Amino acid sequence: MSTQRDNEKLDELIFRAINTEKPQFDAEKWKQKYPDEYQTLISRREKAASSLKQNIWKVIFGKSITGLAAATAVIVVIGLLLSRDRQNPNGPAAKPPIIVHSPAKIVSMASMRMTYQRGGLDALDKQLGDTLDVLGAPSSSVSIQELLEGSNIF
Amino acid sequence: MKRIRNSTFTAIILASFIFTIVASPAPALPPDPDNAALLYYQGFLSMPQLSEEARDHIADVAGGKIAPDDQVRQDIGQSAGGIHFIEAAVKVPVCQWGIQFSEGFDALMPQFAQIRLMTFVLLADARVRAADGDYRGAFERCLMTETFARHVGNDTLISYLVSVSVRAAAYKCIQEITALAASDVELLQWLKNELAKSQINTISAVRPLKLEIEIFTDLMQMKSIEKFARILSESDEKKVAEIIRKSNAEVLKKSRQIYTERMNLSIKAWNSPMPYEQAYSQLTKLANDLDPNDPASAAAGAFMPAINKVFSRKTLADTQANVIMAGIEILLDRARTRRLADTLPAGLPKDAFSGKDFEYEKTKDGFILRCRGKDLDEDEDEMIHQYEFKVKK
Repeated sequence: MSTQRDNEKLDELIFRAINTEKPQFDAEKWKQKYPDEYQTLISRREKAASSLKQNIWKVIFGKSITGLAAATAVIVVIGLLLSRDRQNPNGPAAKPPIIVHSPAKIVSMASMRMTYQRGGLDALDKQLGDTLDVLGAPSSSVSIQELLEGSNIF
Repeated sequence: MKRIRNSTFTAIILASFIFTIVASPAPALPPDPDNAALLYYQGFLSMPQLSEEARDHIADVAGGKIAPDDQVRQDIGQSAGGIHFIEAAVKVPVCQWGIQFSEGFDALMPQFAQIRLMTFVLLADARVRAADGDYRGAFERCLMTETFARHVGNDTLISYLVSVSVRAAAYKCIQEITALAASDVELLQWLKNELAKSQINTISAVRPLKLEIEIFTDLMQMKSIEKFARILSESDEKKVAEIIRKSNAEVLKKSRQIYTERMNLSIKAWNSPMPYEQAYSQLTKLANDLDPNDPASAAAGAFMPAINKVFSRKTLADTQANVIMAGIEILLDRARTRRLADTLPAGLPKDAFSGKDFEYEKTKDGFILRCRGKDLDEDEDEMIHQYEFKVKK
């Protein structure tokens, strides 16, 4: 609204300046002639757009509980849309997700217990021996001094 | 006169000042940890980075396969920070490892790999001390390892198995060093007293078996079917899908019943005073005798632990403890009579496999204590355990 009013004002000014019945506005020329005004106008527009965005987030997430509910709703809708996309057999084939298993799985109760179940104590012993290579030994060789050298605390 | 009065006044002020400082309570320091696990974890973090080769080398020295060399001495020297924490930890009565039981079967237990390494380091250090003639120091390290085994505990079946293994490794080391220290009566007496104080037998497999019932019956439900299938099929996607497709609430309910019943019967057999051979036979039947063609039985069988094997490991560790006590008595008798007995002295601890006295055999280097009962978990040629005491002349 304000931007439109600014433009109307500007038109009026131009009209007065050139004293014609109907203002013929050449924007490019005007930009070159009045760079400062143009910048002011642009910045007003950006501010207006940004305040509009802020208002939208305020409306949606204004109060914490309402906000949370609204955020959840947005996520659910996005999730539904995405899942619909995935289920669409005519759509492009979705890239298979990259599944990264944490190496820490080797020390889970399930892993150790099933290793014992399948291979007995020898297999469990081997797994415990291999664990230090998989997870890495503690790096106590790094001194506090070395750690501090890495930062710029002092 | 004025000068004397001034001096007296200054002395009183000074004395009051000193008294105030001396009498004021010292600032209280926070107490040391009352949970041994906190000290163990710090010990693990203080260990040097050892290559796989170095770790294997330490394990070989600890097991008595090779004699201590300069390399192992150097590696143990570098592990002094870690050992220092273990020395403090074994003095703390309580040890809670902080396992997240709420995570169920997904709980992570990263301590066991470090426990295994630390056991080898402690026992390799015992072997180094023994090689240097410091038998008392060597025994202290072994006894420390035994307490460590008790602290490893029985939170889970894996904890129990690791605990029994650590204990067995410590006993093997004690037994071999005892023979070397055969002439030191005072030391043998001290060792006997220290071993008598052991509380290791408070650790039982019953607690982890009960815990397994909780965890597995929770897993054998339709709500956890994917996790259940993944564990059963080692994450083989085809098998996972097949298990999920074939599973239903009825089959899982039957599985839970079979599993719970067999586990409870296993616990009963474990607790009963029946001889090893009979208990082993019952436990084997309970763990294995399940119909593989019945889906419910097959699923229950997949989670039944090999309790018979666990029972054999426990019986072996008990036998080792008895061998040491019997061996010490024979050596003390030798010190008193100045000769090795021709027959086994009466009233000695027995072979846990048979419940009978060990078979005693004199050799040119010392003596052998041999089990009369078979370890049914071993191959035919290794079923009878024997322990040689090579007495240092």
